[in-house]
Amino acid sequence: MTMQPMDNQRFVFPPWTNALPPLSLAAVTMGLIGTIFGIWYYFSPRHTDVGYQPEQPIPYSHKLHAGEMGMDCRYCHVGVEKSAVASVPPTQVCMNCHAQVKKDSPKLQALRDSWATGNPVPWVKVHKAPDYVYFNHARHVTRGVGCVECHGRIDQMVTVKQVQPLSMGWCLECHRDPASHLRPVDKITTMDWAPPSGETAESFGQKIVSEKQIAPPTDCSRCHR
Amino acid sequence: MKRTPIQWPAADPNEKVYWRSLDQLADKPEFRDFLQREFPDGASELSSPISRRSFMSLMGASLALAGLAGCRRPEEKILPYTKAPEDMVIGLPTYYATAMPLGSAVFGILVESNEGRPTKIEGNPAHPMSLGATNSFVQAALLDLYDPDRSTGPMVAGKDHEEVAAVAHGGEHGEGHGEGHGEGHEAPVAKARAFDRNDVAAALKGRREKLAAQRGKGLAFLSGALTSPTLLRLREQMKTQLPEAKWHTWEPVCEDNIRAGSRAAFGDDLVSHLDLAKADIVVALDSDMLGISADAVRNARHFAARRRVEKPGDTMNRLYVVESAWTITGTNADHRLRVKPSEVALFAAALAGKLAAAGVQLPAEVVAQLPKGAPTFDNNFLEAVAEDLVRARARAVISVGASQPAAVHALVHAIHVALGAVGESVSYTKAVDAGRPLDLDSLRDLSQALDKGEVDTLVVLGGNPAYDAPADLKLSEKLAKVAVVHLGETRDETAKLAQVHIPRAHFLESWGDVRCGDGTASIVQPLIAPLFKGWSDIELVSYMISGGFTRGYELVRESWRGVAVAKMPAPPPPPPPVEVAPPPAPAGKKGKLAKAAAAVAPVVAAVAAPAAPAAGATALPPPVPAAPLAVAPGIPTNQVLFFEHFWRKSLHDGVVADTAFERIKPTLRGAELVEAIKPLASTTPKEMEIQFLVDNTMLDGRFANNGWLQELPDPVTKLVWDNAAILSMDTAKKLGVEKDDMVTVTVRGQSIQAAVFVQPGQASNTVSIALGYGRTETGRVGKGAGFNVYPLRHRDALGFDAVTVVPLNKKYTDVRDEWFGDVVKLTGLVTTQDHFALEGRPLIREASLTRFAHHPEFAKHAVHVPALRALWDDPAKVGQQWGMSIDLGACVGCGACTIACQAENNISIVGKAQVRKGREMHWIRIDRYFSFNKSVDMDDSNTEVSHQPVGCQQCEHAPCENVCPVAATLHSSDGLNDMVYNRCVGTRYCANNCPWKVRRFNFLDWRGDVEDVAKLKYNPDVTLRSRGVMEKCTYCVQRIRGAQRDAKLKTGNEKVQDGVIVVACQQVCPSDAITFGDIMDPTSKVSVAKKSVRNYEMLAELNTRPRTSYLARIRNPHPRLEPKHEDAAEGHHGAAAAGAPTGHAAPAAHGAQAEQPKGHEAGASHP
Repeated sequence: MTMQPMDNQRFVFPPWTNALPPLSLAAVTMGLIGTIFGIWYYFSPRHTDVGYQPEQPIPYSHKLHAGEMGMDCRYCHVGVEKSAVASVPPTQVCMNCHAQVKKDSPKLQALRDSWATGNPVPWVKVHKAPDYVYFNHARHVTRGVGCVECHGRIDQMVTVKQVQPLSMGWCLECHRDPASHLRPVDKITTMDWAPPSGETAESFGQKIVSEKQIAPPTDCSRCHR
Repeated sequence: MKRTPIQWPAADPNEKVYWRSLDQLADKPEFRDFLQREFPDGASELSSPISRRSFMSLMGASLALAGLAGCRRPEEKILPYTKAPEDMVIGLPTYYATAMPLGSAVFGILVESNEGRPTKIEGNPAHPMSLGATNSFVQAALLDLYDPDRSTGPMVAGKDHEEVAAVAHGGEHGEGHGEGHGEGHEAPVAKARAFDRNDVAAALKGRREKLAAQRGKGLAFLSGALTSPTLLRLREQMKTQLPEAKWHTWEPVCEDNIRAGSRAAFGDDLVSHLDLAKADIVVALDSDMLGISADAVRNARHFAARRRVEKPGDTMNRLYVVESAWTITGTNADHRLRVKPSEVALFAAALAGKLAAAGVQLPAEVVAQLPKGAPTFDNNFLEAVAEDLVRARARAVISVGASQPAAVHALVHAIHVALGAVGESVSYTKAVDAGRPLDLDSLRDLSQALDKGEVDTLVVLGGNPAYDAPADLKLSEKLAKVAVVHLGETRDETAKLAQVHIPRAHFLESWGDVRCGDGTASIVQPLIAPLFKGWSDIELVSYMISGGFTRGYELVRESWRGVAVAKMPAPPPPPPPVEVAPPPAPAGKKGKLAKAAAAVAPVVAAVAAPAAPAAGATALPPPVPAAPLAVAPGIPTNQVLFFEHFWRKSLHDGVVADTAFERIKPTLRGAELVEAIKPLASTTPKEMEIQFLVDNTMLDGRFANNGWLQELPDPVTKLVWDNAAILSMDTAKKLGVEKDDMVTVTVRGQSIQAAVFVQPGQASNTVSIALGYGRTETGRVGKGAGFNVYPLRHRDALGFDAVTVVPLNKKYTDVRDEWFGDVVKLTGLVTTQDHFALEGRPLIREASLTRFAHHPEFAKHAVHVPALRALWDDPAKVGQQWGMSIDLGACVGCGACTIACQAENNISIVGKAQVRKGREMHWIRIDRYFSFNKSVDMDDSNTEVSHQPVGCQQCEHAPCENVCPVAATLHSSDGLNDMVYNRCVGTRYCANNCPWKVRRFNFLDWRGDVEDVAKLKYNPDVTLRSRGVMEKCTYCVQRIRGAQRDAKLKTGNEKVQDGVIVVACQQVCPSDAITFGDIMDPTSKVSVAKKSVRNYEMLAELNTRPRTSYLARIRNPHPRLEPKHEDAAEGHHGAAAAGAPTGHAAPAAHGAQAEQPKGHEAGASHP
């Protein structure tokens, strides 16, 4: 019995396929790098959270109230110097003025409904720390961290929007090097505060750090408990 | 390389064998499993019916959904108030003083309120029965408030509240005959709507009018112990307005014997107050005076204060306990005599005889009545007690349990008088509601009236007589025949029989007032509007009497108006000093329910009491909200204004000033006393006796639906979710039964079945079964847990009775509806006594007072720890560094810390089936060890008990931290072992590496699908943990950070003063056993405690440098009863110790007596 020689040529890969392994390796590597970069960038709060600007039940304009009319933040956010939460004002606070001013504005219908029924105005939360984070407004504000540091130029926002990532890394940046984020305590609500001429935020803040013995903790249980 | 081995000291004859369970002694595989594995075999498996596989597929699906839903940020709402309460700052808690009635006991409390939700109860330091501490019942009362199984609406003839509206409608237009209401279902069922107060009133209206027309004939009230002045006032009002109406009282754990004993001895209802701070010798006769009696919290504080010896020569008290089943008091005894319950009376009689023989001036007629003949129990013990009492004289107290017959109480009163203790270590005041009929007589009268058909309507105020009345009264059958109006927090056994059931307001929801044992009154103020629109007792009684609804607030004020005006001083004196300042504002209601509150109860203007806040007195952070009124310019002279002043001050302080009854020095009666003591002579113990125990966690059954208490291990048996027929080893052997065997327990022809638990140290031929279990009508938590023993309890034998116990030759199996609708079949009782067992090293260190005198540093020398070097650099200790000291000599082992921790830290319960697997979540557990001397064989009579609370030790070189792959547990700069839940991925390596076994893993999402109302209980300062996350004691880091924040806001510096941070377990501790603070400050309390010679660190030889250390326990045995094992020969009266080779001159063998001025002469005359 004799064997027919097989036509092996049919089963030989063409020469160009020799380039495939290095190419595919490169592609996989690039893909991996791309994925990592993509996740690193696109899944971070800097990308996902910054710019969050939900529509509110009442088109309340911080630009008008805090900016143009110059109301102090603490007129409404009364807890900010005493408590962990700055607190959103009760309907009553709005009605202090709006019982007289713009009494019949259709935009304020939800406010008047709330006042009449006793049901709260369902404001949408913009700046949100997770439940396992215990952020305390009073501790920051009374040390000289201005509102603007975390909330941005609220006085220029018609609708409030998140401007900082509020991520843990972002918190720690400041906790590790607080100087450039500090200001005199009586200027915390001043949105456009700038250090005195001839000083940088860094050098001016350094004085506050030493004067007030600012030493922000980085222990886990300071915020997580 | 040579390792320096840990050196264990050579075994000395002193050495005791410590063990947790009989399984451990027998070295059974079950115990080895708990010892050697982090969790027993199979604990890591998911239980049926969700297999791991189906679980994975479920998880896969939900992950996919989560992936899709995650693309958009969930919208979260902020719902501010419409009108904010004036003094509230969102995010800052406020504290209110109020009081908790519990049967005849009263506890003054301070309640933390977060945005209108009461979230934590603490003791009120100004209250005589709390002294700033509480117990597990008070802690757990909070959970009852938010129990989703509470009655949410009225029922009429078994119909729910949706139909009540229709019934009420019919009632208004009908003739108003009560019977007609039962036909509510015939009326067209109104559209379901929430009921309101009018519905309830309408359901009662016709019935009330009919009864009022016949001057109350046919109307009867049944209340619990009467401690409320307003309720007493209304009862008097009833007597004038409805003279034919009757009032009955019933408490299943009643004080009849105490009252009868006092009436016999003194002719009046007097309450004896033990002053354990003064007592050198304490004798407890079947009395759990350190555990669950009304004054236990105060007693424990004073008792422990007399047991802190710091140097040789210090003295301490000595506790003798005579009892049947182990109680908390028994576990703290220096000597314990186990006898049948009936023999306690014989012991008391024999003791009186001995005392009389030793020259104590007992009335001769009384002595003549005492039974003759030799006692059947240990004569040495009796001699020792008598000798000590004679020596201590006025500095001795004897406490008698409520279940002992009146004769024993009367006899002990006589002994107190003869010893001269009255006015010294025992004082008397009149009882609240003195002279009322005994509960049993009262209930018998009710039963007879029911038999005769004299009762038409029975109004039950909060009780559950269908479940807990004596069996021979057959009350539940009789109640079914009359119209019962039941006011209750749950739809219990009595509610099911009731014609009308009305939800009862919890004490945190209602206005009221109470008087504690010594008469001190407190106003009960609500922290929240009634969640389910319940009525309070006083509101219902007032309605039944007057026919109109008056708010509880008005009723209470009405009661106190006269009192206040009578107190009004002619020339205004300076305001009395305020000992406690709960942050001000006795405001009425707040919170999200403010609106509802305003509708049902008046909101007192938010005004601070005029007292100056005594900073730090309560150690609660003073979150002073808006500025209160200026300090009152003196006491008002106008009556109306004076009353407002009085009212606000009383609310603020939590006690009404100067309301304690006068201490009186009663004189013994003659013939009546002799008559009362006569039954002692005829007391004959039965062959086998049953003891009805008041349960350490369920009390009489009222806490049956409280998950925290169901899962709190019993202080002695460590049983959870069950009671058991407790037998001693020898009795179990005689009956041929062992743990988990079912037995039939028969009393007077009535039988129940129960599972056996073998408990060394239980009295022989006695079976003890706790009350309060086997509830059939309660919520999902308590249903079916344990065995109901009430059917065996008869009128003339509420405490103990003769019994026969017959083995059933089967094991206990229990089918329970556990989490997620899991129906689990369980075999056997579940006890945590072997859980988290540690290897047999000297974990517990204790010594007798004599040994301590010879060798004060015995605790440190129990293990020789060579100089060890750490693998890691020591952390820099800058700033404040936290540490804890736990005094094992003070700890009574009650378990209140476990519940307080659970309440503070949002710790879940897991259910019986999960506890069985060792998955309980308690952050602080109390390890209970039995011990006996190595030189003898263990039997029932030579076991002693030691307690050791164990939480995270906060090691400086924590073994858990090194093994965490994701750095979820790390060290903080102030020395805490931080646990970061959001980083934890659940590898459980840390728990594996923890020598103390204090880490707890969330095997499942224990929070489950929690009803909204149950969510209200959570502490907002502590993260809720979900499945797959490790957790453990944090030293209440939220309180540390809160105190640091307050200090920083106030002073600009984070340094916290000593004593400002009070951790939850420390705050609740009745005996003040736990100290917490800054170990860098040499003057802080914790530093001082750690310098004690008794100080030792558990497992110090591992070199992990725990921040929690222990103070060794010192026992004070009578020298003659002390096992002969001391190296120094010890004389009978302590003199010989002076010649001991160690050269310690101070003998202290009779430590307790050494310092007393009198009594020595008397002692010398003793043979």
